[in-house]
Amino acid sequence: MRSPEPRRSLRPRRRQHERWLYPLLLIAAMLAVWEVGVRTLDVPHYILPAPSAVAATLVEQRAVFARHTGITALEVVTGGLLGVAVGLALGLLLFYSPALEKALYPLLITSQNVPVFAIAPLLVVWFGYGLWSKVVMAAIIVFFPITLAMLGGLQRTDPDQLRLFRTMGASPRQVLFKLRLPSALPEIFAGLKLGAVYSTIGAVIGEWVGAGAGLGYLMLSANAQLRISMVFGAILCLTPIGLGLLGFVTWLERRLLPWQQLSREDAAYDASQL
Amino acid sequence: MKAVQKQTAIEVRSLRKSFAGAQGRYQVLDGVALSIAAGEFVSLLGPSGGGKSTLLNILAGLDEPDAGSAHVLGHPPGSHAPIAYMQQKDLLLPWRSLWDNILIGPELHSRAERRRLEASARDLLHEFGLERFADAWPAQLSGGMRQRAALLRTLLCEQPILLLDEPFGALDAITRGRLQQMLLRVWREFGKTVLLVTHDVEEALLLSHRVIVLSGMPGHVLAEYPVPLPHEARAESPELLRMRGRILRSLEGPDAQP
Repeated sequence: MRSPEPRRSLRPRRRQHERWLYPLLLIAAMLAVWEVGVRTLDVPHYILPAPSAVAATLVEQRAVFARHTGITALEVVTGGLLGVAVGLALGLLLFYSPALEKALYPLLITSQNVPVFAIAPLLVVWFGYGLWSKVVMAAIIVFFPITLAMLGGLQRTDPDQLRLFRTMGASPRQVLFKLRLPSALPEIFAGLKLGAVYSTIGAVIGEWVGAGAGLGYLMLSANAQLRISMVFGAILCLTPIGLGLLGFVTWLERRLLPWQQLSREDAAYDASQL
Repeated sequence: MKAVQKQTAIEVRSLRKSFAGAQGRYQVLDGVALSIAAGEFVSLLGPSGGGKSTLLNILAGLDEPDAGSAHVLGHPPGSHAPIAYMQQKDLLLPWRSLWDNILIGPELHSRAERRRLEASARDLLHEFGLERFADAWPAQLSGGMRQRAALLRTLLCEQPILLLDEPFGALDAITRGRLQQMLLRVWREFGKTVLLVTHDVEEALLLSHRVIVLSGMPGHVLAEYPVPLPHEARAESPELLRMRGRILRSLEGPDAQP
């Protein structure tokens, strides 16, 4: 009786593989057109390599790709986690201190208008060519949507539910943990999804500006040597990092907020059962 | 029980309350006075905007009166007043199962308190016909079920005084009738004091010992009608029909409208 297990699976299985089938077919078709196009038009490999050439490079240079992918993934995950931690803490702080919110909010908004490219060289100066300048870069891009999501989520608690908690004698701590935070979770997760995407962008920008390793560095150096199949390989290695993070956040959301998945049609019980 | 019934549960004296509006302040309550004995079931009737909810909010400690006094079992209202308040909306938390929703009151008190009340929660769930839905999310429940769950949550706060603000207002007639009977049963079984705000004259006459009619803005007590019949004899009683007519006339009278 204690654990609220939903009585039936929230999404039918049949739909699950249909969701994957069509995009996969489209990708296969596009690759085929690309391959045939490059071969028949005889496009030089330093302009556009055929998919088969990219695949061959990926296999041949797999050790190189694996090393750089590992480095970038580490930057993305560490930077993302740091950004999320800072964003959640700052959102909470701004929520509980209206004076701080008034002082800091305009600054935060203004700072977001500075292109991240502009500060990336400074970060290299301050944090060096290694891991940390990329981690900080990713964190700087990630924390902002998380802060806004946290603050907005906490502010939008249903006032009637707050009154209910007050009449039941809830302490401020209980109001935060049993009411405000749970009702903010959908918004926080929306922020986390943005963060998952932004974190990859941040790390790669950091690598472009100054690095000795990572997929961004690999892209730039391969590009300079006209090894375009290497550039494509690096792009291919980059996508699973962002997709993986996004997938993890989505999985976590489904696990933590199963009630959110209920649509109107899933409202299983109607008035006839009264 | 007999001794308790003589005690005054709710005592309100010359209560005044105004709110700031678009055209300056408007008076919502103007000298409201009423007294409710422990164990009594009293309905508060009145036109909408007549300050009925404001009165409950003051008793629940959610609003401060401008003047006058309110006492609940001899104490001023506050966060530890012995009341359980059911508002118009069911206010179920969407991230909690029905079971965890109805136990939120004792849970906020302590873990031990929640454990202590789980047995009676199970019994009440059965009595309210909801035991099959204990694990369901609020989004999976019909309006009537949600309202029953909200009533259960209110009861499981284990307070002697229930403030109910149009608890069945949004329900269809059949569901409302069944919930009224459940409320009546619970009130008898647990000896609660009930102050029910409603705009439904039949509901007030069917359920309560006494019907208090508030005027429109600013609200004050227009009339009080004791209902002398036992609950079983009320349905279709001609006496009740006459009272209904009198109450409706007093509601429509020149003094009632703002």
